[in-house]
Amino acid sequence: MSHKPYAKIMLDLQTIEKFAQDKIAYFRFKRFEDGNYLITNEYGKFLWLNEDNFKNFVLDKLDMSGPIYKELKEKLFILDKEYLGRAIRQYAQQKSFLKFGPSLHIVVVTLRCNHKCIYCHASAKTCEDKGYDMDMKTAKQTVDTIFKTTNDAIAIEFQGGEPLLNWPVIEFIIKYAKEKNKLENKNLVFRLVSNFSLLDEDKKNFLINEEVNFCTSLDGDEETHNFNRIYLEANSYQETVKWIKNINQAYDDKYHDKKRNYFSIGALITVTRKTLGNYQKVIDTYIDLGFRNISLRYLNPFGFAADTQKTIWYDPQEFIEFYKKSLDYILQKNIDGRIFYESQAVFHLRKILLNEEPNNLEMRSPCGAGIGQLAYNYNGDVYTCDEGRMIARMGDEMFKLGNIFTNNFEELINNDLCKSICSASCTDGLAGYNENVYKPYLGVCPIYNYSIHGNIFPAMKTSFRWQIDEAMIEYLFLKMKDKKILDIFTEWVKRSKPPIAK
Amino acid sequence: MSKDFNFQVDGDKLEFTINTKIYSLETIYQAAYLFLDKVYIFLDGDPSKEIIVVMKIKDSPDNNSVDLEKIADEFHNELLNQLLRAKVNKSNAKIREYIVAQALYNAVPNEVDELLEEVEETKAENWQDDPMNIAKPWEGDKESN
Amino acid sequence: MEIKFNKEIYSLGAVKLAIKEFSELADIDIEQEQNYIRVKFIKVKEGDMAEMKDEFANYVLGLHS
Repeated sequence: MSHKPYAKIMLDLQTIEKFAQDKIAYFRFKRFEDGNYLITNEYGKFLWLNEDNFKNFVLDKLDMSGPIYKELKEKLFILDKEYLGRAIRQYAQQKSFLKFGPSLHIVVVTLRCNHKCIYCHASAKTCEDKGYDMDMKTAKQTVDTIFKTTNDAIAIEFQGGEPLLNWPVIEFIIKYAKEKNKLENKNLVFRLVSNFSLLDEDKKNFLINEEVNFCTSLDGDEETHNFNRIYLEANSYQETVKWIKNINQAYDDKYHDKKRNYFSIGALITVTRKTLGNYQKVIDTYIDLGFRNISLRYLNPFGFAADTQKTIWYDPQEFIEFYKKSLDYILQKNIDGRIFYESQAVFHLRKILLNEEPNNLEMRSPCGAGIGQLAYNYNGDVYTCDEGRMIARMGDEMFKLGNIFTNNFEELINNDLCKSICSASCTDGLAGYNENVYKPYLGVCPIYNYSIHGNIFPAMKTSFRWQIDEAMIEYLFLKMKDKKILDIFTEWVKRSKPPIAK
Repeated sequence: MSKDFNFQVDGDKLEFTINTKIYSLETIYQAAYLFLDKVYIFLDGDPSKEIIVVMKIKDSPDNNSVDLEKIADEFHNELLNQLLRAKVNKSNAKIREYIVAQALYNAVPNEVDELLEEVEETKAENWQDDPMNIAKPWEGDKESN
Repeated sequence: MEIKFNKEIYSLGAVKLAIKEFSELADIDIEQEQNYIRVKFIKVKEGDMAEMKDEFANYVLGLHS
C-alpha cells in the first residue's frame, strides 16, 4: 500500500453534503493546479474563484453585500427572485438563431481548379475537365431556392474548385440575385473565395462595384504558401499577393469613409506541418500585407492519401503548441501597438465575452448544417454544409439533402437528415460535454465525427478536434486573467465583424 | 485527501476500491470518462458495496511522463467533483428544463403558434357545441353582474 | 486473449456496440456467463492484440458515461 498526496483537495464530502441547493443556480466548474476554480453557466457567463470563495459559494456563505456575491448574482449563478425571468430571456436571445432559416449559401460554380494544393479535400478537377461547371439554368434555380429561406440575411459565397473558371455564372448570379432582391429586400451580401490567379481588371472592377467581398487563400510567407499551394502556371504566392495589394488599393480609391473598414479582403490559411515551425514568418506576412487578422484553423483531417498525411499532418499537441506560440506572438504585436487579431480566438471570445453565438456555424450548438447554411453543388445537388459536400467529393453522399430541381426548399430542410445532424450537434447531454466547464463555448461538427469515427455523434474525448478546441479555449481563459490581455481581447471582439448569419 | 484512499501498485498497473455507498456507479463512470485518454481503466467488484478500479498506463510516446499514482489521486478528486456536479444537476434539473422550454417557445414560435391557431379554429368551428358553457362571452357576464 | 466484463457494471448493449465498432479492426467473439460477459479477441487485423483489448475496454467504459 502506498499513498502520495499529489493533488491537494479542497472539496470534501462535508462541503458537498452541505451544498446550498436552493440558493445556487446550475453551474459547471474546473479546479486548476493553482487552486483557483473557473465556473461557467448555460448563458456563457464565467467567473474565477479562489478556493475559499468557491467553497463559500457552494455553501452560500459569501458576504451578500460583497463584490463577489454581486457579480455571481449579476452573472446568473445565484437563484434569486429575478433569476428565472433573466435566464429565460438570456437563453432565448442566445438561441434566437433557431427561428431563422439558413443564411449562408455556398455555391460551388465549378469543381475545376488551376491549383493542385497539397491538402485539397475537394478532389478538384483539372481546368481541362468537362462537365463540372454550373450552367445558367442551375444557377437561376439555385438563386430561386436560396431566396426561399426565411432568414432576412442572405450571404452567397462562391466556391470551387476555382470559381473564377466559371465567371459568366458568377456574374449572372450576382445580377440575378440583386434583381430578385429588389422585391425580396433581404440583407444580401456576396463573397468570392478565390486564389485570384484568374482575376483581371474588368472582373475586379465589376466585383468591387457590386460590393462583393473577397476572400483568398494565403498560407503565409512565400516558402510556406508555395509548398502548400502548387500552381504550375506561375508563382502562386506572388499572384495572390499582387491582387491583394491591387484590391486594397482599389478599396482605398473608392472608399474614404467607414465603409472602407467594412470592405477588407479576408484570407484563409490552412495550417499544415510546414506552417508549424514558420509561424512567425506566416504572421509577419499577414501583418506586412495590411491584414487586420489571421485565422489559424487546423486541418480538416479527412480525405488525404497516406503519403500526403505524413507531409502535412500533425498531432493535436503539436497544433496546440503552435497555436499557443502564435497567439503569444500576436499578443506581443498588440502590446507593441499593432492591433491585429486571431480569428479563431475571436470566434470563441465573442461567445465568452458577448455570450453571442458565432458566425462560425460549426461552433454553435446545434451547428449550422442545414439550419444555418446550405451548400449547392454545380449540378444542383444540395448538402448540409461545405463539409458535407467535401465528403460527397470522396464518394459518400451521406450528407446530401436533395437537388434543387427535384426538391422544394421545405423538403431540403425539413427532413430526417437535417434533424439528425441538428440533434447530433447539440452539446446538451452529450457525454464529456455536459459536465465540461467549457461546454457553453464548445461546438460539435457531426460531419467531422462521421468522417473520422464513422458516427455523427461525437467520439471519445481523445478526438483530435475536441482536444484542440478545449485547449484553445482554456488558453484564452488563462491569458484573460491578465487585465492587459483581457483589454486586448475586448478590443479584438469590438473590431471583429458581427456575424452575418443569424 | 481522505485517509481511506489507498492503492496498490503492481508494475504498470494500479488498483484501488471505491465505496459505492458514497460514490454511485454513475459518478464513477463520469469520473472515469475524463481519464480514458490518459490511462486504461477497468472496473469490477460488487456495485452494491465497492467497485474495484484497475488503471494501466497507455503505452504511447506521449505518455512517457504519466505518473499513475498522480492520476489515481486526480481520479479521486474527480469523484468528489462529480459528486458535487451530480448535486448541482439534481437540484437544478427542473428549473433548467423550464428555462429551456420557455426560451425555445419564444425562439421557435411557429409550431406552437400553428397548434394554437388550430385549437382556436376548432373552437370557432364548434363554438355552438359548448356543453360546458365556456364560449359564453365573459363581458356579458360582467355586464349582467 | 479475453476480457471478462462484470454484468452489473457493464451493459451488454455497450459491449455489443463496441464489438460492432471494432469489427473492422478485429475478429471478436462474445459469450455470456451468469455474472460476466466474456469477450474473446480471435484475430487482430492490424496492431497489437493486448493494446486493442485495453482500448476496447476503455471504449466500452466510455459508452457508459
